[in-house]
Amino acid sequence: MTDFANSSRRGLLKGAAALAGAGLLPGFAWAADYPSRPLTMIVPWGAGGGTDATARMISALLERKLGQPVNVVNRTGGAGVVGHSAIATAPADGYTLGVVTVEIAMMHHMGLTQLTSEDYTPLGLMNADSPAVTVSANAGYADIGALIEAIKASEPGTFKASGTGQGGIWHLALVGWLKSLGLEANHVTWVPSEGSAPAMQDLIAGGVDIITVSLAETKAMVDAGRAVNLALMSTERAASHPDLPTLAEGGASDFALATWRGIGGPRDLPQDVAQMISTAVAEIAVDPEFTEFMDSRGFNVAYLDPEAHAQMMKDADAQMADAMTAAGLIRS
Amino acid sequence: MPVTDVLLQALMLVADPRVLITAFLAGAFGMFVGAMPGLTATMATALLVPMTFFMDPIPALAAIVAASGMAIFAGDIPGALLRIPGTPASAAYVEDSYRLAMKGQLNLALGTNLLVSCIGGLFGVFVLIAAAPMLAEFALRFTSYEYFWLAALGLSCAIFIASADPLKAGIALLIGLAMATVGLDPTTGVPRFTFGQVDLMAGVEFIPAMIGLFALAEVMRGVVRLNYGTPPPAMPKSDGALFRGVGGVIRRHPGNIVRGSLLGAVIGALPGAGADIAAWMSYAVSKRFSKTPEAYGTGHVEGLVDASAANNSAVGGAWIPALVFGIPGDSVTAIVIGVLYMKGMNPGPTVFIQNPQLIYAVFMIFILTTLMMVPLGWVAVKAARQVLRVPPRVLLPIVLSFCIVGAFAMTNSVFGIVVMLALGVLGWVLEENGFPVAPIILGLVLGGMFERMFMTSMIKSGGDLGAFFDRPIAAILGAAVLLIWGLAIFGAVRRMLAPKRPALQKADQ
Amino acid sequence: MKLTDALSGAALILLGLFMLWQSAQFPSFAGTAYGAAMLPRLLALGFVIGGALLVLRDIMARRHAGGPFVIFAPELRRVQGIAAMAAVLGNVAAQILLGPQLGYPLVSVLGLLVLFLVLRLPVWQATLLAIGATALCWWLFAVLLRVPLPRGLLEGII
Repeated sequence: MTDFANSSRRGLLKGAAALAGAGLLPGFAWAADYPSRPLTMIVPWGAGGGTDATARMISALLERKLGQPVNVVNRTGGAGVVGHSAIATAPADGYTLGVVTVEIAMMHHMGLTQLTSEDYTPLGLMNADSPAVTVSANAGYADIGALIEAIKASEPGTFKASGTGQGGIWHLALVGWLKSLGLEANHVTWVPSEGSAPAMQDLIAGGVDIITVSLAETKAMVDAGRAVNLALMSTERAASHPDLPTLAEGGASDFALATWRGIGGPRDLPQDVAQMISTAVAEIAVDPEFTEFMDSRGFNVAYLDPEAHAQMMKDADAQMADAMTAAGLIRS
Repeated sequence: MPVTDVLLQALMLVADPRVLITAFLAGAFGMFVGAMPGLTATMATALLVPMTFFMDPIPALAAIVAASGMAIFAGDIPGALLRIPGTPASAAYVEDSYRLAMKGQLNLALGTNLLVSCIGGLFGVFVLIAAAPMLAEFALRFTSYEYFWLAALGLSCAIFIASADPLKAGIALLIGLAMATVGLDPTTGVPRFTFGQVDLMAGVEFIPAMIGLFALAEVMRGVVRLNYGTPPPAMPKSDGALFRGVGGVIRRHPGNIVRGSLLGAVIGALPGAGADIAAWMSYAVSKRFSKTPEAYGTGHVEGLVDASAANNSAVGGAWIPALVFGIPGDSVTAIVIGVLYMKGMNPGPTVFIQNPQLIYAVFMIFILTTLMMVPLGWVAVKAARQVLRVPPRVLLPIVLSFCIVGAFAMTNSVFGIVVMLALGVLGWVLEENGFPVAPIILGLVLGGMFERMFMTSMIKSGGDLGAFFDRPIAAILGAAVLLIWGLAIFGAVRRMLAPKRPALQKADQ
Repeated sequence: MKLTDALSGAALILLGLFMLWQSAQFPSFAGTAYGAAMLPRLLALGFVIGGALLVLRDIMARRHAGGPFVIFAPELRRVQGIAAMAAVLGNVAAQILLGPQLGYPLVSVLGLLVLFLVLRLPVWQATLLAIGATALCWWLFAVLLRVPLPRGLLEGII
């Protein structure tokens, strides 16, 4: 008991000193010796998911490079709004970073938040995954061409597709693809689901016909022989699935889209701090420990330096705006 | 590879002292996390994940299996001692176990919880071993129609759990359902009742809500009484052997154990429905078919038997779709699947062919940790019982501290504390006025699934309600729901027409 | 705080009407008549009906009895009772309002100290227990379970 009392009292005194110091010396004192205390990595998605696992791996490696613990904190809910807000509104001192995901290019179009990619300091893109068109194994489509023929011949609303919630990235993938085929956005009915796992379940159970989610998310069912990937919505084949043709190769439009995850901090991070983190992030992206982990989960490593990361987010914003307008998701 | 070789290899993997020590430590950790109000089995597992990064597959899985199973049992401990369920899976029968303890039968309550949890857990493992592929096939037939009826069936449990005042219990259920609608609607992506607050977009997290409704409200009641000079009635001392009389309970209710375990394993195997729902449903079933339904909620051991067996059986059940198809049965196995991939044991039927020794090692770990639950649980109960020696004026503020940090831990922000505060005040007012709070939790747990599955089904069928009965399993479940409601309404009408009996009053007010 | 059922019923009716009004603003969902507003409306209806039943039942029951509409629990009529309640709620509110700035440990120690004193513990016991309980929570949650409890003023010290 006395020990607690002592350490607490000492802490109080130091606290008072720190407060005084902070008041007198706004901000620059720590830049030289950054990082002098543990960092926080905010993940806008739940523990156990792909983003969470990626973030935990990056944090573990970042910890080694920066010499300070990096604590992963899940701030979930609101389709990513809560976590992305927490990253953007954290103090811009380099002690709070986060994983910025593709949803940042989508949420503000739906009026869910004011935040855009401009509200972050990009520190490096780590991963990009394109969705595959996946159907149930007993549906009997030989290739993507056969599926497209069947869709085109069908009455609007006959086919159902799923993969995520209304207006989620995989919904936009479907809409963008239908558009590129010259079909109406609702020619195939989108059935919202609470993520890819329930959607896969619904596909196998016969509730929906098409799933447009990433290869990693379909892997178990495809390996089990219950589902079949028909084509990848990308400009090039995936390293993990060299036999899977792209949409363009299947002669089925050249539509391409990806979900992505990057490391970011609040806007206006001090330049030297941002430099330090982005260098570490760049090293992690080629670290075999990281790449092997990503391979094992079926995630595609796609590193972009901060400048390219910023540009990519800007481009994605425009692409998403188009897709969401097409899907009738943007409310005025 | 002959089966004996596989088994031998698996045994070698498990018999490694590092595996055993990991399982033991993780089990103790799970026991602690589960006993903390508001910390769940999911949280215990999530906290282990960074550590499992650096472990071999078998110790990593052993850690998760041990921690999640123990946490589900340990949730019963604060329920019996303080009327604060440690995990949502214990909320269904917290009233019974607390009242048993107040009658001086703390040992009977917790001893029954522990042994029956162990039996249920073992049952779940054996179902996992024997029937995994078959049950997984069954689970894969569930589309949104079947899930809708399942959620409806779960909500119908409120009818059976309902207390002396069905009207007030019904209103409490509505409150829980209404709270489940707060946040971003997953089907349409529209924010509801968020009033422009970012935090509310995530909705009302039900763990902080549970801490508020049960724990904070209990602390409020406690301190007020304490200061008024009418301290809450002290719990009678219950020394002596933990398991005295438990054998008798188990012998008297073997059917309940089997029924609870079976229900738990099946519900656990359905992706998206876990130990929480299993506990509620089996409690309701138990009451419905009991010879003494009126004793439920007053400190009756029978419902405890069913529900304790069910929630631990569901732990094993949840691994069925996870291992066979990589589809998570609950939030714990969602994390497990991530770990499996990371360790190169990609879930799917192939894992049974490619790595049978790993799968059998997992089964052995399951059996081992379930058996380990008895000694670990015994120690935990003995240790936890010491809190009864602490005078309330010291204990209550400490419980309050744990509530605050526990609520914070669920959202990693003060928003969790805000939810706890709001629900604590609500829970206190409701209970003062004779509204039961347990149905609120039921509504919060099932509300999201109920609405989502209805909407999804309607989108699929283009608004045709008949589609809810088109598929065979859906039709059976739907008929069951309609039958339950029909009988309940018929009974209510008959009672209304029958000569009036004096209305039941809450005994303790 | 005990309300008569008539009063709680009225509150529920108001809640139902509020939900109806709010859900009128939810956009409808393309293609179906069932949208984001459906369940909230049904629930609102439930609240109105349930509330009305409560009011009716209460009025029927108390035609003979009468009595006040709000009964404060006897415990809350005394200053000690109110103080205890206020100290508990104050502890929680302080963590919400001051915790992020001042830090969890500081707010917790001070808050618990007040609560222990209100519960009439001797000062030295109250002080020790407040610090001990805070340290225990901190160690278990912030250190062991890595929960990012706010450090506030103690940032960089603990």
